[in-house]
Amino acid sequence: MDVKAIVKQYIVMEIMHQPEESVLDDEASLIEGGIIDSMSLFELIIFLEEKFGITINEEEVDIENFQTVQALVNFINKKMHLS
Amino acid sequence: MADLLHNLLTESAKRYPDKDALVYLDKKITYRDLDLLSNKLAATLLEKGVKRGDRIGVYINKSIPSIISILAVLKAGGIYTPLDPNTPLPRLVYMIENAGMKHLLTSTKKLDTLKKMALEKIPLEAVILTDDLAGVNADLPVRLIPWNEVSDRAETILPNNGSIETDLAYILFTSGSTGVPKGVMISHRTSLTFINWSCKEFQILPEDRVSSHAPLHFDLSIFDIFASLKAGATIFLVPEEYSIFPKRLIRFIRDQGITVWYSVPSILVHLMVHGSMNHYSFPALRLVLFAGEIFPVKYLRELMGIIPEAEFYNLYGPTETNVCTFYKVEHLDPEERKPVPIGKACVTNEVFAMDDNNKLVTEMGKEGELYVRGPCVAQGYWRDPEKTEANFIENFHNPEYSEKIYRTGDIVTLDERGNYHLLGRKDTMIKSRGFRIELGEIEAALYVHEGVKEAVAIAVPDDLITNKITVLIVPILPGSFTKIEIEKHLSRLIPHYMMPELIEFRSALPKTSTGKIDRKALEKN
Repeated sequence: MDVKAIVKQYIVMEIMHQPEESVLDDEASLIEGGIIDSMSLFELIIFLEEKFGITINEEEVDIENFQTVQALVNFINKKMHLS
Repeated sequence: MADLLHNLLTESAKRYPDKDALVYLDKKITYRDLDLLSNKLAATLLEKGVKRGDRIGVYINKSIPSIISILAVLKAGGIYTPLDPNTPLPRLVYMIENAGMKHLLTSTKKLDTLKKMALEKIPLEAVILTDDLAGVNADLPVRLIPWNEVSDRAETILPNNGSIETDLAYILFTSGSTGVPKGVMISHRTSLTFINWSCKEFQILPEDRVSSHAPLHFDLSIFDIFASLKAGATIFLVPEEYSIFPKRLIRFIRDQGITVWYSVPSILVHLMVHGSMNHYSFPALRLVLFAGEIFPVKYLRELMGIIPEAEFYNLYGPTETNVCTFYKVEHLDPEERKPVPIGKACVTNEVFAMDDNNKLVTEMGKEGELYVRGPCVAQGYWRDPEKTEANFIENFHNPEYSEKIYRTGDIVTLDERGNYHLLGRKDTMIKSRGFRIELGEIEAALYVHEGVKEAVAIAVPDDLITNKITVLIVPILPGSFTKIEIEKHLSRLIPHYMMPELIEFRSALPKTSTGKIDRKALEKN
């Protein structure tokens, strides 16, 4: 399961509304860049929980885990290996 | 009493020089230093050719430099024009050109966006980078001025530039029904009417710790910044990302000891729904002001339970009047479902409602459109005499003198206590998450797409965010483009918050007898 590809696909299609994945760099800031806002964050969380079978608790919804695509992928991988 | 906005700072700097004026995370600046630094920036602007009445863009994320910038523009006799840091490029360019901006205050974070602008076509004379201490080389066809050129200046006393209180202080752009935003013009006197009222009504004191959550292009920020400066209070700037991560914001409010909070209801609902706000207590918070949209009653009740010692006020008013009515929420019945009223006029202005026969609404239960009269009314829309004339009209209520009154387009009704209640809109402006959205602006963006034959944007009421937006499109050639392509197209033209939640294709749209798209029929289904 290519976690990174799935995450990038969701973000570019559902949040950025740009069909080309190349617009999103792995290290680009999702937050400072204004890519994620409060609505899209929680839609993203629902998607991640359903897609990867993980439960993200409120404490984990923090800047570090959602800072960049890479940070998010690392976070998801950690959650998946724990379950 | 200050007659110009920036004098609020000058006067408080004399009384409380060593007090913290602004706090951003671990950075602070005292009143004295804020005064000195804004003087230096103002002097720099004057040196770069800024003249009284020039519109100067402030295109900076919320930060200490963003506030210094606003004050400096005012001190230089300019009109500050805040630009949403997240606005799409075409909209940004439109606002810069429409306002005739020759100078821009921005930060290095915005350099990428500046590079995408065809700067050789936009006659900007200088761009000051408020966080550039080294003199970045960005290869742009416009003069970039680093911050050290400002901060290294000797202490300056500014010459009297002749500004008077009816000069414009700022222009705030709001959604426009014909596809482009319109710039609401506000003078020093108009702004001070609101600030003096709010400072007095809410007893803002030097000990207050006032949050600055609203972005600078939103008129809630006028209270956050200027009421605080007037009182000698401390402004705690909320980092933009905290609005996204509820736990951060909740802890910020609690740990910074915020005493006064002002925002749209949506962010507070977000904190309760996604942040478990009811697990926390906020002993310092004494005042919660909300505006911009209806506060779903069940969430307001919950919030009042979480912060039982605070006072809660519903403030109402379009950008064109800032706040014109208000209502103190005393107690909410457990069975109450109706939204709280917008209340009664502030002591500094007058409001009245006129029904369809142009008769004054004086009886309980009768409906009418709300009009506002008084010094809180804006001067009109920048360089748009047509829209200005349509909405800032002759005072037919008192025809003896030619004071303009503002027609809000909001339909209201009176209750038995003389409080106004908001019923709806006369036109196609809607609120979603507290944002003002002209459905026409979304439709105009759709029509830009060459494959679109007809398009309509309609509001679908929503419990949490007031309205969601559905867009119906009739393509010239069925199947010639996808929903995804429309989303991509829209995202390039309109801000995130205007993006429709649902896009549907239709073969035809229902029409009224005059051939216009029948919105009412669509809204019913």
